[in-house]
Amino acid sequence: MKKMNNKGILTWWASFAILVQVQIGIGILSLPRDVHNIAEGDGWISVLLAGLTIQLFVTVIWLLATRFNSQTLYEFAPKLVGKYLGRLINLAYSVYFLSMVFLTTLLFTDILKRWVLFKTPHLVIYVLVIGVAYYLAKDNIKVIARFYTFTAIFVILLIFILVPALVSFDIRFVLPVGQAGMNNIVKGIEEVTNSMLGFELLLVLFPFIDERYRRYSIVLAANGFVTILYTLIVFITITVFSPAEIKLIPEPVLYMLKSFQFDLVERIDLLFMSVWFVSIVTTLVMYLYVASFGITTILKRKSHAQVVAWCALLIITVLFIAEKDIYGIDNYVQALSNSSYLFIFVLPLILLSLSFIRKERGK
Amino acid sequence: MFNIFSKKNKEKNAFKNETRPYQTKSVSDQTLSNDLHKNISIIKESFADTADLVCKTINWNGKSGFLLYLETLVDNELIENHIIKPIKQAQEQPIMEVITALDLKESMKLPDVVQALTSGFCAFLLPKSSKVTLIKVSKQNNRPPEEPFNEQVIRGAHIGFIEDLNTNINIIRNQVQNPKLKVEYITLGKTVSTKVAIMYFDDLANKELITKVKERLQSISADIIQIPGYIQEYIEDRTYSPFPQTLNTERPDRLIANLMDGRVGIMMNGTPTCLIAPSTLISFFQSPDDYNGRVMIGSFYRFIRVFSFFVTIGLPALYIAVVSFHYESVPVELLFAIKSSLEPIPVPPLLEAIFMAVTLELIREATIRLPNPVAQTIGVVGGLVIGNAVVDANLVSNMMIIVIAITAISSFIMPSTEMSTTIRLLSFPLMLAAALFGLIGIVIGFLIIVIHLCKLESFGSPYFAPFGPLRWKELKDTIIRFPTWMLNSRPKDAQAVYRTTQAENPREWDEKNE
Repeated sequence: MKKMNNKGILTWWASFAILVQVQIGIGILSLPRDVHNIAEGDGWISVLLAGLTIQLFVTVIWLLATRFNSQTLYEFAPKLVGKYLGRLINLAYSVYFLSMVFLTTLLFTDILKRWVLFKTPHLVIYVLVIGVAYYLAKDNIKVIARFYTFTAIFVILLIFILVPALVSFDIRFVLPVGQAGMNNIVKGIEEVTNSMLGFELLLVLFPFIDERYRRYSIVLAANGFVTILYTLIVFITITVFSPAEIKLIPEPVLYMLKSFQFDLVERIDLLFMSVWFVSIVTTLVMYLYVASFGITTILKRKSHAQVVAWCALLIITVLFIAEKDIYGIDNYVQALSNSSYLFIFVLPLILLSLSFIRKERGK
Repeated sequence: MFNIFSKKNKEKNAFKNETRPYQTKSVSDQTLSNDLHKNISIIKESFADTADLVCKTINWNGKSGFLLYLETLVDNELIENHIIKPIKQAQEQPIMEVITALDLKESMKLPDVVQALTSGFCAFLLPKSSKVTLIKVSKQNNRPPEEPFNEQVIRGAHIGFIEDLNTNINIIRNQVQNPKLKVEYITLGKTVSTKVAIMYFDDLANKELITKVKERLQSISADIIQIPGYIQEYIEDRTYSPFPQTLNTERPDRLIANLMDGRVGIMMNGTPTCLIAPSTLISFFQSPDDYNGRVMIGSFYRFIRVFSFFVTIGLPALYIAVVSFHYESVPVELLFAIKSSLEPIPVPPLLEAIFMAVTLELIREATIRLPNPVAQTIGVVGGLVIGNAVVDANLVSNMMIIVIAITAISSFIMPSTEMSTTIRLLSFPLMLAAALFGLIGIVIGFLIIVIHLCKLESFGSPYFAPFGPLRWKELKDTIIRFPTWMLNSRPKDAQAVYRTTQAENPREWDEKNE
């Protein structure tokens, strides 16, 4: 029943849904503030440019993946750089994916504790979040894809939640366009890229996409959608809060929602958090699945279900030990965002050039 | 060590392979002899000398033959008219030409004779002959095919299946009138044998699906398969799931509609319930009424049903979460109303909710078993008296009564009893999650339910389709119902060979339509 070989089963919509939901993650809540600190009112331009930059990264990954049409990173890396170095790369990627799970859970728990579950111990939240992710990640990609195609509806719902912001909208906060200067706008790109990670999973997921579709169109559409959505959110947030206000609030999106009032529901931010939970879980599940998939390949196991369990346990343990104050979290974020460039750009580029030099290609 | 395993295996397979003396196949496989009295005594012995086995002497052609039958199974009039009368008038013709009954056969094997006798045949034995003539004279006492109580509709056919398999298939055949409707019989049960019919449209239903259904049915090795619930549990993919994975119905129109989608129907003798495989979650929300009413009305009620699904599962949990965690999220006026009703209640909202929900289940369960007039009394006592007194006694708040009452009513909206109980059961863990983690608990609960639904498969079809996997084109007949002329393809999850059901534009007269 649990066949490892499910290659070519993802439809256009399924792959689009997976890529979009992995990319939309924890970052967006604090993104407007982070990018405003650097690029001020021009933050939204940074987001647009970051989308373009990411398209460049994705293209590199896409070129690499199409050369090995039906093989995942874990299968073609040993062929390119030799058995041992290949395994090292696989292990590095698995650890990187796992640390993404770690960081996302850490950040999300931090926000949950500050906004909803004030008194609940950290450990309980970890177990809840990782537990739900484990329940899905232990199944095969077919089942996971079903879930993603369904939850994609919630992403559309997120856009509607932002509509009431248009009432307290002040366009002057972003004027004049280009106030921060080109330098700062470019610097802002770096900040945004961190919030839009997720496309690197394509290295592993690519062969699962059905070949009948134009696969680049999926990548382009997913990244385009996320870029536009992020730009919209950042633009709205920057225009709702004044530049002085936005510096004070760590999660501007949530504060913005909190200020809206309706007749029946007074705290939209709670509703938003509930829908947001789904987004976090979708990010976690894919990273967890892909990481354990890699470890399964390294260990030459048949089924990945057990590996997922061990990975989940490992992450909960590490989370339990990890520092949970703001400075500690900031350190992890810095460390991971610095090292992420290695995995999303440098390594794929090296592998791509190697495959050109050695003329290695999958069937 | 390995010996232990193999021994265990042997024991496991023992039931499947051996025939116990009480099972149907235990009749010794011997051929009858020429000795008439010996034959009769062997047959009587096979029937353990039961009292309703009648043995009558009849003279034919100067020889005294014996007529054997189970008097509780046969129609006396048929025996008189088709066996005794012709025999008395007969000359020297062979016996097979004398008897005027339709179903007539000869056999020399004891198991055949015994099998025939148990299914309403009567056996005619002659001296100095090992051949036994078997004549079908079974009695039919059927109730008329009335509308099933548990699946009533306002418009549409008011006819339902009954306990007799032949009548049921007759109803279907009469309506379908298509030679491609194929019926296959399997006899299940090693002691109590039950005839099971598998129905599908040949060349429309997927071959793999049919083999899968047959394979699962044939692998059943048990003493008794009495009710469809047994079959369901033997053949469904996951027993430990709250969701029913085969649709149960007593309505012929529902079965025919599903057969036309390319699904397989499983019927059995002795119950009016028919199983449909594969089924999806949404098929439990569809009722023939939706298609008989107008499009907008049908859509509205479909939407109400899906909405009530969420209300039943989530409303008590949401209320608990709001009053115990997120009271700041409701407007002040409403908050005052809730507060004043909650003030005198000594127990936490979770206990209140569970208390009321359990009371409701008690009333429901009690009214099912009781005769109608008493059931109404229980309804009054349970609903009105308990509801009123509980609030007066400050045990449960007014708000909670409202919440639980709405939940109960919306759970009964489901056209399928199985789904209605399932969702009421699911509301309990969600209440607990809400009491522990508030809104986040509810989200986690719903996530787990959705993940579980995504994992479920019914005979190889995704159970949660067309939502997960999301198939935009098939959403036409889910949360809302599109006009019939737009529903032009069969759902993919039915695995049918041909998908199209009607012409591109079935309303050809309407030129503006396109």
